[in-house]
Amino acid sequence: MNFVNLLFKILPEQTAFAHCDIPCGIYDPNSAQLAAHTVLRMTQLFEEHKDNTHDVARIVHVKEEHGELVEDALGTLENDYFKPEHFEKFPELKGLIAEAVKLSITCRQKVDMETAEQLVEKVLLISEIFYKTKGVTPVRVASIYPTKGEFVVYSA
Amino acid sequence: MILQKFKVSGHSMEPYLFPGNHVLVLSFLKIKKGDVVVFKHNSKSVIKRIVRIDENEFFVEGDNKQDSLAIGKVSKHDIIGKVVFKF
Repeated sequence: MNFVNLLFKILPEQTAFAHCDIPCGIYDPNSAQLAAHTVLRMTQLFEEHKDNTHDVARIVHVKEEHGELVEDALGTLENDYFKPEHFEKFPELKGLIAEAVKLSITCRQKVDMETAEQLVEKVLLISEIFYKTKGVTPVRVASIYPTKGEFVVYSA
Repeated sequence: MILQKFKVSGHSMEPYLFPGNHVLVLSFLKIKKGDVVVFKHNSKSVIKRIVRIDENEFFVEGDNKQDSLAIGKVSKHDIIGKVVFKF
């Protein structure tokens, strides 16, 4: 083991944020919901097209991309939007985000309907908390996607 | 601490650094234009590149212009150190 690797192992890890510089205030959980539904849809399509190598390659690529989008969107909400008072008011929020990111990674690693459905559900729960922090009422509606399931919107 | 390890979150330093990359940061080195530094901002550690130095004021910017548009001013006091190694 060289010196740099040793340092890497023994030093405690902190986070350095390389996020946008202008706090625009435009935050929305819809992009995470769309991406999570897309991951679920790609998982469904994989089963339908698993005998076609070309289709499988494209489906896996899109699943990978949208898994990353879920993780990015949740990271933006966690680091740029949610404040300590939100985490205090909704103590389950931190855990929900961590679980959703883990599920998204698992969805990218394999093809598993149950994991993809769990991912969508966690993202919906986070979306509900988001709308509550905005002072509006979250409402679950039937999604209009082939994935069926639900989508969280809000009523003022 | 003289030497610290950070994990990068966010896209504003791409293509030099991607989310999940790690950096080692040394606190005592002289900062010059072009260095990538970690500094304190609103009680968070932020990573950007030095684009201009006026006396003791450091102007920073992200490498990824799609994600990082503003040039911010950072005082020397808030700079934790400069990146000397990335993983």
